Amino acid sequence: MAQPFPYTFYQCPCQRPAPPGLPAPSAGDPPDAFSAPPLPGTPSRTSASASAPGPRDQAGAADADDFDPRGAREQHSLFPLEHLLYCDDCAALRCPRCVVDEILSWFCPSCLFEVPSSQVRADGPRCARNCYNCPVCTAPLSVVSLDAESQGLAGPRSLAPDAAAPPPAPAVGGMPHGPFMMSCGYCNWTTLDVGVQFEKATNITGQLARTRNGGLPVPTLREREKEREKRRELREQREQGGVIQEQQQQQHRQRGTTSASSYVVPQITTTSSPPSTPSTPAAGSETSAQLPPGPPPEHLDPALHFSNLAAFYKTQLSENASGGGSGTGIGASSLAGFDYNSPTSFSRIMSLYGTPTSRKAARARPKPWREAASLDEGLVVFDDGINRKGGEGGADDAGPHGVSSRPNAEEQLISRLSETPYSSTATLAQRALQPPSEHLVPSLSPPGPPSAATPSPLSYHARPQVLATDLRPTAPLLRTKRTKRCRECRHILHRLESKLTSTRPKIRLLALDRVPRLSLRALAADRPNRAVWSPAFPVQVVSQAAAGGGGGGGAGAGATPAPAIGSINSIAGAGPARPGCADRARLEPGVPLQLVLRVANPLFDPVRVQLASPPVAPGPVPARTTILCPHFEVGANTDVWDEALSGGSGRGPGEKGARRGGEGAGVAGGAAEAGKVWERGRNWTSVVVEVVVPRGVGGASKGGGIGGVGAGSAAGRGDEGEGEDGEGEEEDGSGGEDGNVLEIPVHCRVEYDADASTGAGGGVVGGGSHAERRAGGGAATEKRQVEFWVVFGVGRVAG
Amino acid sequence: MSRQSAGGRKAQKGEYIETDTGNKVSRRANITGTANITLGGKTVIQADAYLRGDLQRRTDGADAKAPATAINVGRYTFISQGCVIKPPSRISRGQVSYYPLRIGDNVFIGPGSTVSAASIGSHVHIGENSILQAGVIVKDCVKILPGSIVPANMVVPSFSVVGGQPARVVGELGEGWGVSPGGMSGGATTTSSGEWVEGGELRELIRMTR
Repeated sequence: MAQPFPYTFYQCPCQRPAPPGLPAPSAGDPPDAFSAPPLPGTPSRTSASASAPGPRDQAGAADADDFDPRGAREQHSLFPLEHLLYCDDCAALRCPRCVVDEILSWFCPSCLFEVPSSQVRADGPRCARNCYNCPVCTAPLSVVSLDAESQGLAGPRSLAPDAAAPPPAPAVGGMPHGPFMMSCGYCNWTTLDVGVQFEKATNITGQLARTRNGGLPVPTLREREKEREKRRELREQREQGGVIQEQQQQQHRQRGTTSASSYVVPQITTTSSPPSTPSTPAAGSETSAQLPPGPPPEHLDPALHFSNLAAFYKTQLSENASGGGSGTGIGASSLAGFDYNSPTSFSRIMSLYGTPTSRKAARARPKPWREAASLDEGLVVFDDGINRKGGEGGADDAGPHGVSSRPNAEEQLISRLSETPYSSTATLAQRALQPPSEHLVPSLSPPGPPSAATPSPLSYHARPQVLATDLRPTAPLLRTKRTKRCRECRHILHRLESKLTSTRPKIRLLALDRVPRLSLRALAADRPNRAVWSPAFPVQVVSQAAAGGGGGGGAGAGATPAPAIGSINSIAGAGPARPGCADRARLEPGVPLQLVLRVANPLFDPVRVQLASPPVAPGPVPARTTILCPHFEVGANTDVWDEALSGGSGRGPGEKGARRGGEGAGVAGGAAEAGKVWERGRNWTSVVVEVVVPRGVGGASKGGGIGGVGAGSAAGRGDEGEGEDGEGEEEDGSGGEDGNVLEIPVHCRVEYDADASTGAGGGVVGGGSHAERRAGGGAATEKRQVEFWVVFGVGRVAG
Repeated sequence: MSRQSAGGRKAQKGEYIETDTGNKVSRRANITGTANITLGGKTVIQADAYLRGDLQRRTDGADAKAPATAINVGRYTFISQGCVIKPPSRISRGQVSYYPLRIGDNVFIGPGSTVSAASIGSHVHIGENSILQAGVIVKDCVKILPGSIVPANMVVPSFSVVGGQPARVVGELGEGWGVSPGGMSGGATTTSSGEWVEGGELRELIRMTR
């Protein structure tokens, strides 16, 4: 848990199986059974905790089925109270899981500009302005003039890697001049590290899209088309000359490597089909003959791949549309009519039994579609290394696409990785932060003179992004501003003002205002014979932390929280021994510890509270828990001034005399007494809870936690202490970081008489609360009841 | 303008000097350039805090007509022990220039933090020993976890939880951020340590500081 001790989590019952009907409040008061005096280290502990799946046996009153705060499911239903909303209509708590989010607007978290949702739909959930984050450390990048930097204090930075860079232009006037780069203020990464620089300081996104790592331009669509055309023409020219030679090669290949040809479109070796065949064999021979060994075309650059395929199918469509071609293609052969891929043949089939007029149309024999047969047409052959063996005889034995004559793509990658120092590879977290469109990197074609058949800019192929030089600056994911609605009744529970920068809520139905707040603190720590248990901070902080990454910022951010959190833990070195305040709350085994449980009432009616807790806390620390006074009342949250003016008790620390004014006052000497309220205030009451951690527990898992323990680390919450005790608790992990954390579940039931006119709370809606209308009395009041489970994180067991 | 802390040995007179507007400035705070520091009132500056008001923007050529504020702090802001509040600097055209630093209302800056942000909104809670590098912009309602390093020029949007080294947004704040629960509103403090809520009104905390 990321919260400092002591923390309080409320359970939202939304994911529990629906309670069987109303939880009938029975008179068999469970808390009485709990208030047995604690006997530290008694042997009965074992048997008690063997049945420890809960207070259930006694707590027949509540819907206390089996609540284990360490259960895997409870990880997702325990929240700090600040994260919970309260639906008045359903009269139930609403956690982030049982509300519906409605996106009000999208905005970039970095430049805080709103992005219209149409643009989000078109361009994806990333900022299209000049916001970029460092791919190495996620800090924001700033655009820096190379010129200014060389002029600046730090002396000339070695800009060696980019030889192609023009010399920086001198600064003219006030504006920084010359090429720009983006640099990270945190880790000193710059775009020069991947060989990218910018001509202008504006429109970084556009410039970045046109530049690939290393500084080479990304060919535009038009350039790609042109290149493709050029290559096709080249191929056709060669084809005219070398058809016969071609055939020989083909036959040779078919004999040699049958498996290689298995994925190739069936070769049709009629000499009368020049326009369609050339693409396959010619390209193969060209590439195999001219390309020196290098990274094979295992994947196309995805963008190029798509444009190739699209272009190919476009030509197919147009050829078919123009009357089935000139009859010189494959279409003239006997295969025609059996290709169900073609829309024309499909329409012909459909009209087989039609009117005779369709016969006439059928006369124009449609040409069947062939499939993409070469790289240029978008065919990508998976290279699994098997084909390679067949083709190792030499360059002549190469497969039709030049695939099979070179080492496997993955072997290439592995060998490359083995030559690369570890520091210049990209970590998994860094790769995960890259947008998916960057996950495949176009790799340069092998060095060598660009052949006529494969001009260099088009011979890019893709490989996974594994090197540090593959990383690209990442645009931040957009965030959303959302409205929360109740999942049941669709009422709005939380809505901010629609202005983007406003943080003022228009509607806000917080659980804070509807549900009593329970908090735990130490009884005077200076008492002898008591464990020293210092609060987290000299001034008590009611901590409000995020419940892990559970909030999941926005639509796009949902993907990243888990790795991000884990990596942050590891980056920050925030292991178990973080110098925070959490470790100060150490519990001594065997020493009874008295805590003050305070219930504060936000309602305007006095409430009756019943508390119950299992006698032995479930989990790795089977501490005996006793609530000394489980039944009490809490005053209404009236105006502060009413009390100040009428009661005569001063405000602030001076009002100590006013406490313990109630009927169940604690003893003046400060000793906690069973059945007595400890302190009482205007709208709050506190009782004493006694906790005894048995000996032999704790110290189990020091340094057990490897890596970051993220939000849902249920599996990591194991315990070796359990093994020592020999108790059969249902823990699954082993040696988690939280293995010695004492968490006490407490069931809280609150009853009060409310004015029936306020609130609609009719029946029970799963949330463990209900209201009964009471007819009697003059004013229509209704008895309402709210029940919930609360988990107190008390601290870590020392030792 | 804040009152200057008289740096003498006057420990008998109490830890804090209270100004007319209710600011409480520790006698042991190190404040330079007081003419350039504005405190909004009811703000606490604890011992060993450094406020570098002398680092202000240098006006070229013409002498400073009016002393520009280097540090502007709002109301009910709590600057803990050992904090360093230093206006952000930037190198432009080979020169280091400082920009004003603005801190909003109800901001808690934990002990040992170094703040060099360009602006910090209201209802922000900064954990202890965190570092806000130059030019950081923190919007309203943000929690910065202890020990985090917020990298330069980062913008932290509202309702974020930020942590790590370098810091990144690790979560969202709940809807009830900064809301004092009804149970503890208005002077219901009973023990020597009063209660206040992270990101909420810090009035109680300020009041208790003496």
